[in-house]
Amino acid sequence: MTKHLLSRFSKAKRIFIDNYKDVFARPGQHFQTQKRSIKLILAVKRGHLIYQGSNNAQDFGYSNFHYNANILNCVYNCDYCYLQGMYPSANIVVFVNMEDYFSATNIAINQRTDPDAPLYLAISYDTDLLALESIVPYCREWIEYSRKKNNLLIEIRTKSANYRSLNNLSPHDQVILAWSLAPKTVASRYEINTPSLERRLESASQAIDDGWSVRLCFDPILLVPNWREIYSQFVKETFEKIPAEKIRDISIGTFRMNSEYLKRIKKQRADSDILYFPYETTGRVVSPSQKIKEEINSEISMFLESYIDQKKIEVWV
Amino acid sequence: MFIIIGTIAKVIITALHEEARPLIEKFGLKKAPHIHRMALYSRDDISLVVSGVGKVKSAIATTYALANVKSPENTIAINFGLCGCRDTRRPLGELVFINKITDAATNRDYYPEVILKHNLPEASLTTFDNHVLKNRNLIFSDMVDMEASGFFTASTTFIPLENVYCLKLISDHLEDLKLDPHMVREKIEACLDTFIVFINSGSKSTSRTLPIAANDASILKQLCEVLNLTITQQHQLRDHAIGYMIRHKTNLDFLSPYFKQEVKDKAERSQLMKIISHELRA
Repeated sequence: MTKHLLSRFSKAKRIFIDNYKDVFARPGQHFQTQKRSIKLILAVKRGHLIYQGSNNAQDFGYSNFHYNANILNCVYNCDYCYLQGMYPSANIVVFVNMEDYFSATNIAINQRTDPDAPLYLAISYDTDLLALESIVPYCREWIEYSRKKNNLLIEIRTKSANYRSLNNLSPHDQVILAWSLAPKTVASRYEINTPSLERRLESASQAIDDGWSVRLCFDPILLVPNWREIYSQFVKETFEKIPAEKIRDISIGTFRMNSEYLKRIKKQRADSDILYFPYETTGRVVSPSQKIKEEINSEISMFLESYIDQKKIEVWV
Repeated sequence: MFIIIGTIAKVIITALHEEARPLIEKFGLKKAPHIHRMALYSRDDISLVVSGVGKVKSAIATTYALANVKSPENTIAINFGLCGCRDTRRPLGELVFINKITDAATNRDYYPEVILKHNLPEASLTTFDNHVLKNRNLIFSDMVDMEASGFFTASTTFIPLENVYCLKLISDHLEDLKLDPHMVREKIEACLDTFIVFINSGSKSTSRTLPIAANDASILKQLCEVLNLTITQQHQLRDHAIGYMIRHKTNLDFLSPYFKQEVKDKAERSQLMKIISHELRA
């Protein structure tokens, strides 16, 4: 992978570092400033390579919920993204020791707590793997790896329209391609640099046609003015393009974030209303009040139920 | 040539007078009177300090220049000076942007932020405590000098990382040459235009904007004082106020009447804070 990336960016200026943390975790960095000129850091990941799923993410009923991070950070720059508060840097780290990740996954499969369920592994949480696939072909590697594993189910979550970089692979059941979707107005305002809703829907639709298991994530649903009309229209538009009966499932959830991350983000930026909504803090999680959450979840579920079985809707509460 | 734009303060640190002189003349800098322990020159928004040779002197001069800047976000610092170059293929007189600094004594690495788009060649550099003439095979960086690590450590203490630059001019290929002031002047004058273009770009690209306009910040400050808010309450007030301004696209003028409120005790303060917070969270 290192050779591949060095030849892909043969004209890039190279700076040799001993440990990726020397650059990635150095003090005094400014996330949004670095977004103006993102650097690519190639590194070998040591220590933990696979983690227990977070309470802020849905497990879709899978008991052995884990995630990993082959790549840190994302090419997009969504206002509501927790990475801004979680990482000290906006530079992208690509861990090149894939074999170690596969070994760790083999161990996790063998040691999973519920042997009757597969290991459910989200591989694109702290990044957008498919958005980077043309540069770092990790989705492809994971898809091929998982093809040979009976007790593994991987989720590749994305906002990208880059499905074409996978369309020569034959689909199989151990992979879920999950598209995060947002209404046009929300995406253009809060999801900087992301492909349009149309392009994401085209990608998802193509994946369904090719036989992949596709999940749609309406997450986070943002409390924008006229949210009911906006999201009702958005659901309608989605199912005009996507055959609802062919969707594996849908996740919905309101904005939520670790309170410390939000605090860090607010220290750096005051340009997005979504970060300054009067949220409530429960435990260490910031989100709209329970009443608002219930209202949003119930309304969006209602919109969705006109198209899809309620059992296929996973709600973060 | 138009030299400087904007209101970004530029602080230049050089080790030698020979390095500083062409800059002093070009920018029309004047020596600060009444300052005897430090050779400080300035004019408008440019300051230049001649530190003397070595990383400790460079760190002291940098600290002196930056410790009390009014607006760290709007200040850039540049370490400018001569360096030796290991690679004999690189031409003498070339101005390079340093993207990695290694302190030879501690073996610690520092990484200047490369956000600014520039046309200079980039290089790594090791700061030594003594002159390095022999054992070039033991040097792993492209360049060597005696100041950069001290400058970098000191400047990043006071101003944002992305506002700190290290620009070096290749003066030799690690030969035992006596510094020729005429040669130094000639080489520096030859790269001055490039240097000026660079610092003007650096001035344009400073980034960290203050989240609150001066007038609104003043209203919040006054309110905190009048109501004698605790530190936690001050943070809450700021947080609610920014949210209010973003959501309503307005300023905080409506809070001014609260300046006249008298707060006798803790309970009254909490009550008033509750009312203001309620308004700001609307």
